[in-house]
Amino acid sequence: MAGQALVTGPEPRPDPGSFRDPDNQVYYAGGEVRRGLRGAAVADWRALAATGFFGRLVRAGTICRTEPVDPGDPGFEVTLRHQPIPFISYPYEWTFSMLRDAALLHLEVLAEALSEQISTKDGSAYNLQWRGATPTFIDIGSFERLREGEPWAGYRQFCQTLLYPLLLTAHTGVDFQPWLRAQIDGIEAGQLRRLLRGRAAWRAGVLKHVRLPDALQRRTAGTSSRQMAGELKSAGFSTELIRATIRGLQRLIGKLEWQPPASHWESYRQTCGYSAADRAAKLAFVDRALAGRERELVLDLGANDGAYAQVAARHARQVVAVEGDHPVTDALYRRLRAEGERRVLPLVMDLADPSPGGGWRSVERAPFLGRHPADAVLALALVHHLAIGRNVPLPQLVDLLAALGRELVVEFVEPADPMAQRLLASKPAGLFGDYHREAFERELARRFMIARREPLPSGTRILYAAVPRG
Amino acid sequence: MDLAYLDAGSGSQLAMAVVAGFAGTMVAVRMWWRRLLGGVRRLARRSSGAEPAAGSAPGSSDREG
Repeated sequence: MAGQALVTGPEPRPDPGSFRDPDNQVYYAGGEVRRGLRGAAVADWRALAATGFFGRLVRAGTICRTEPVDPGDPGFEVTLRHQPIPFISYPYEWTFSMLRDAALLHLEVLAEALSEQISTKDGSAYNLQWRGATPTFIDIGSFERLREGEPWAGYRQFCQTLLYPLLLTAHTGVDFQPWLRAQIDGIEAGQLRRLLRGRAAWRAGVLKHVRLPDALQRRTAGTSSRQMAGELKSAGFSTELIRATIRGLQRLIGKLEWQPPASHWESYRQTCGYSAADRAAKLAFVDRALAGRERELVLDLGANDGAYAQVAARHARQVVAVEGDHPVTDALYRRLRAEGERRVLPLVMDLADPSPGGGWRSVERAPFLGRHPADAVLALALVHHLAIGRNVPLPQLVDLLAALGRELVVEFVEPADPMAQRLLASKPAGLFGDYHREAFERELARRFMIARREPLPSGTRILYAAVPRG
Repeated sequence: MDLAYLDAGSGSQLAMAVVAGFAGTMVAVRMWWRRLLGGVRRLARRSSGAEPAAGSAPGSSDREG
């Protein structure tokens, strides 16, 4: 369910990720996100719309606002309109605490639904999106009428895309993001069992939710899910057992914690030694550059602790704060969540290796670049990391910044700056002869008009506010 | 059997009963017990010649992919 930038245009355009259920398809038309329903999906929607929990959770923002369109679009029995999500993101771009809160939200929605004879067909992390630091359940098509006596069909998917990634990071310290990025269906029980060995095999949730399903799967693989559901039903399975499983998962997930090693924070402090005067000047510069009108979307690339993203949020409906350091991004998320922030969405991503397209035909999950063009891009203390740290040529770097959004607020760190010197010290001498202010300004002027230029008090950093040419 | 034809969700469904606690475990035990009894009955019928030979059951000869 794409944000405003992707839903414009009069012609219906199917969502590339919505093809698995022919009775339930998401598409974009007339500047709106729509869902067309046919067959059994119509009865499921009517049953859902008649419940009390649905309206209550929509009003609370827990479920995406959805209403019927009358008259509907041709080809469908019922057409729904969804409130657009400001910026689509994927679980491999979320932090540990974000994934944990998304998992808890999914369970909360399911528990509420079960109380009114509704269940969900799946349990995917992709059922959830974000408004700022607040998760919301978007997959209205996932709701179906409860079939009493059958197990929750989404349990395995919930484990693979939500629980197992959390267990992996909580119990081993290994980041889950690369696993989710590489496997659209998440981590399999057999894979995680091999990863959680020794003491980790006996940590919370592993025996019950990893080793047991894996062992049972190997013994029952010849039985179809439908046959198994029927056998369990006739053996006395009841919805109360689903509720008991949900309560157990809520207790388990609520207790999962991830703490990066203390050495990480020591190393982080050494690389963030900005003076108070520089920081105050940068905050004021960003505020001035964006003041005057409200923008739809601002990207803050290399967002660090989110201070500049929060200044930008005064002038934008949504700010996406992208940071490559997982613990820093997680700390930012927890602070934003505690503040109830709905305008700043933190994402963890290495900008030298941004999320590619994924899934079927590589379009089911959109690549980060070009996902949503932004009204403005902040790139503060970023250029030297990419240009020196990752050997990205300045022309390519400026081209990327121009492709991501219209206006630009960018900081150039001169080679004489202590942080630039640290990066240069680990590189072969003479490799960065074209990394200097004149070359950067020349490249910037190729794509932008420089509206304002301001050296920071430290004397080795310059801020630019720029607007696109033409 | 080709792995592509195995249903990866059946084990999770059974596991879901067990992780639900004592009542769920009893459901799983009851299900296995019924399977066991069913297997014994089939064997007994086969040995008395009342059931067709093994291999002719529906779905057991899928080799075409």
